[in-house]
Amino acid sequence: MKQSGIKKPVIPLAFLRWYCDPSLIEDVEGDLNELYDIRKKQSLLWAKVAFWRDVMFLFRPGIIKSIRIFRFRKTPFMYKNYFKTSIRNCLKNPVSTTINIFGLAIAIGICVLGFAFIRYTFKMDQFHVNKDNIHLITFNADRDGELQRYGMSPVPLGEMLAADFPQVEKMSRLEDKSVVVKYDANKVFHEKVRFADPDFLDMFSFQLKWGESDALRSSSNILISQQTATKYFGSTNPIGETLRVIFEEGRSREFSVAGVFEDFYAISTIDFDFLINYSNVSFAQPSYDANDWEAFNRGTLVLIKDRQGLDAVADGMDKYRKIQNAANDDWQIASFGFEPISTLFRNSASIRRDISTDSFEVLYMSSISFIVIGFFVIALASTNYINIAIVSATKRLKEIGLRKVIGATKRMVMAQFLFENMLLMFLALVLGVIMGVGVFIPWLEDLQSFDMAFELNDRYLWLFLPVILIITSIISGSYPAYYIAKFQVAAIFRNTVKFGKRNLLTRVFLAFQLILATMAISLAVMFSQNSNYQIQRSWGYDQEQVLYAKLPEPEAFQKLQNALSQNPKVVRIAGSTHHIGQTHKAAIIESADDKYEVQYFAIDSNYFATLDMEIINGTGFEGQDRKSIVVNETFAKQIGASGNLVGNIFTIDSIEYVVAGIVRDVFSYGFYTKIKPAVYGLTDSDSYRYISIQAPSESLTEVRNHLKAEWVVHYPEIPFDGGFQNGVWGNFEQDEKSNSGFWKGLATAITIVAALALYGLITLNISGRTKEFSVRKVLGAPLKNIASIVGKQYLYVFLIAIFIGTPVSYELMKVVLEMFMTYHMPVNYSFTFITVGVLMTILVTVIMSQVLRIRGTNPVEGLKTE
Amino acid sequence: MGKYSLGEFEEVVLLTIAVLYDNAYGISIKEDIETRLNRKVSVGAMRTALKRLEKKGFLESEFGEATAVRGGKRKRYFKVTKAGKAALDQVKETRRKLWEAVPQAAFDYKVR
Repeated sequence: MKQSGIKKPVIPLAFLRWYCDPSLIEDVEGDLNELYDIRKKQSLLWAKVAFWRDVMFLFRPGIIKSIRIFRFRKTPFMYKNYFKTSIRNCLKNPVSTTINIFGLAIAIGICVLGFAFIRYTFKMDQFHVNKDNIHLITFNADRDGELQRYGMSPVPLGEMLAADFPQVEKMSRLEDKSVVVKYDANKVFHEKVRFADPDFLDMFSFQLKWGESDALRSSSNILISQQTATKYFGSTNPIGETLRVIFEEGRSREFSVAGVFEDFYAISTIDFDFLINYSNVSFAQPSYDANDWEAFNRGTLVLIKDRQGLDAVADGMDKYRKIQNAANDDWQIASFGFEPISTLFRNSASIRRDISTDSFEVLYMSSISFIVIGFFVIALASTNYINIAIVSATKRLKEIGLRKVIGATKRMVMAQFLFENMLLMFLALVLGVIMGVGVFIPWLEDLQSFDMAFELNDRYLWLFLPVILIITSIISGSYPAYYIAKFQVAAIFRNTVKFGKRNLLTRVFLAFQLILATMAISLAVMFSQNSNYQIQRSWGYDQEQVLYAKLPEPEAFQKLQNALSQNPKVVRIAGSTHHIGQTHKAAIIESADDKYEVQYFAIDSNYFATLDMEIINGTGFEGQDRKSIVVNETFAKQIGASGNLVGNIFTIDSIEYVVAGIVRDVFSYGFYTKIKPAVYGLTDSDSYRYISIQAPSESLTEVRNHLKAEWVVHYPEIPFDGGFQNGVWGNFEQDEKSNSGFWKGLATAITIVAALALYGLITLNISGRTKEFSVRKVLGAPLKNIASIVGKQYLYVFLIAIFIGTPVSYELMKVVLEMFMTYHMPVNYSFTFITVGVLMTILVTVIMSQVLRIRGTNPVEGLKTE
Repeated sequence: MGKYSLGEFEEVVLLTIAVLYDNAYGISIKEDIETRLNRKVSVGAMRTALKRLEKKGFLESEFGEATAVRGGKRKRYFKVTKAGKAALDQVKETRRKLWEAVPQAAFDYKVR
């Protein structure tokens, strides 16, 4: 019979034939063909699409053939029998049962930890009801030759937007200021307050523990985070208490605590400790001008309910662009943009100076690592299970044979083993969740000192756990069940089943486990090495011999200097407006033909010497006037000139400067941030904000105490703000150690699982060969001989694992370090010693423990075993 | 509902099969419903209805001829059984009784 000319879509047809009930297939397919033929006359594409759609809609109960996997009779009696056999079998082999359950539980626990971390990453900022409708206004401006996106906005923009567009339902400007907050004589701290318009609390969904959400309407109210409340007031309700906020020396105002937020640090990247009404900005900063298009605030947020509204506002932004560009030469805006809160954290790294944090990429990469790690440990624990199941099947050959003789089909034998697997898996899941929630999650939170806000009643968790259960069951259970059920009855009773001791597959699996263990140990070793490297590496200057303090007023410099220069321990004192590790100014520097954004540090001529920063070209500031600048290496590289840069002329704020020298690069804000181009210029003593003091490291504490004492004399009202220069990165050493601690912990867990697997395997192997070893013993074989017989067959596997595992780890580590770290150690093979050492110790320990057990037993007993 | 349960769509399908008499197979039923009742019928929905009706004993079917447009597949012709007729009768009867029970005033909109 002639087929109709054009071919029907093949894929849906195959799908239909696969699922369709055989009694229906002929006329259903015929109908579809006929319909296709009719539709084809209208349009071929339509005919195809409709064909697909029809097949998909036919995929429904009634059309799908009935599924028959377990064709045997399903009676409760049978399941009871399965259950009984499973329990008995588990109890009969307590060692392998424990190893299996424990190994799988560790794997599942690590998966639960990974799950918690991934949820933490993706839950960030998602609790705001209006997360898709609150937009941060951003703008694009040309910087360093390319368009950069910024999260701050011109000061007058917010108010004008709210007045011009009815679509803007709510609007809040934001500003941050460093201040001193005083409750009483003992509770005075340097803090950062955030200024926001009252709409801020209506837009976002921050929950209040105490107080009302309209508290921000009054300009004399202050709202505080829960941590701040604890810091100042303990656990009591502080509503109505008074806090004095000192904006600068001689300029302060009292606020009444009107609200305390529920703890949101773990779920929000937009964080603040103190919140006050935006109208206070003009009090805090007398030069503030609400109509100044040259000034920027911390950000402007708008609530726009729908897409059309947003489009309308976006279309109208050009007006502001023109005003801005006319008023501000330095910031020529190319276009305005909007970033919803739901995606702000995700994109924060590409938006400069926005209110969110830039850590998404690190969290995202860590999440990916967790997924990879999760798969690895599940694979590890599953192969463990498979190995033990296959080897221990030797002991159950008679059972299998008997079942088959009585009339069990292959499926029924498989069902028994799958049932056992499910039972173990379920126990492992329960134990794993307990381990994850009770051990692993608190461990990581404690190590990295953060809060993942993990909740057991997370509905995703209850979707995730069954998936894990099913995946692990399939991976670990299906092969052994199939393998075991395959045995021929006749072969079992003739005792000619060939498997077990020299099974290739068991060895491949063991090798795989050992490769994973090798990699885990190697990575942990390399991460520790890298941490040590980071801790010991140079910051580019001498951070160990410097003290710094942030001055309450420029005059403080003179007062403190006068007192401290009397101290014989003090080597040098420098004043500056900005300070490495603390602040800089983002400045635009212009050459004849280009503009660059740089970190600008205003310092005095002593500064380089005090911090021991090396001038590598030119003279530095000695004997120079205010018309000179010093640039860092990175800037020189970016310009593309190094040696001949000295003497070049650049413009900052339309004032010309001559390059007097090039200074060595320093890590200002840690090893995780890239070194940025930096420019150092001279400053007057009346704009000093920092004092830096050089003293030998052994007398640094003494000098600091002297400095503190002087501070209290001159500024009893203001808490001391400063410390050792090596503390400007916070607990940098601690952070590094906790990072390597994470890998050490993980490697320990994986190594334990692998060691357990090895133990289980060797135990089974040796107990299967009791007779052989007894004969050897009777004939006078020394213990050494037996140990080497057992050891040899595993030694090859070990060597293969090490030879595959170490180069893989080496390459992997290079990729991982490149991904996570801006500046990392050079990777080398020195880790191999430790990895091999640990693995060999495990092998020897396990074999020795078993061999010693053989020694302890009477060979006559061994000969009696079957 | 009596002893026959019949959904609205099932009723339509059953009646259409009766209308088509000896030319009632998949496509013709679908097209007839689409033109007469002016509603879209998906192959899947119709197929399920046919299967359910046959299972209830309201329909019987036999294979007919194969054609080229059907890719060499035979048609399956449907016929309404006695039980099917009885089910249709019962539906009609219940509707009629309901209509008769409606008081005149219920549909008299002029007063309000």
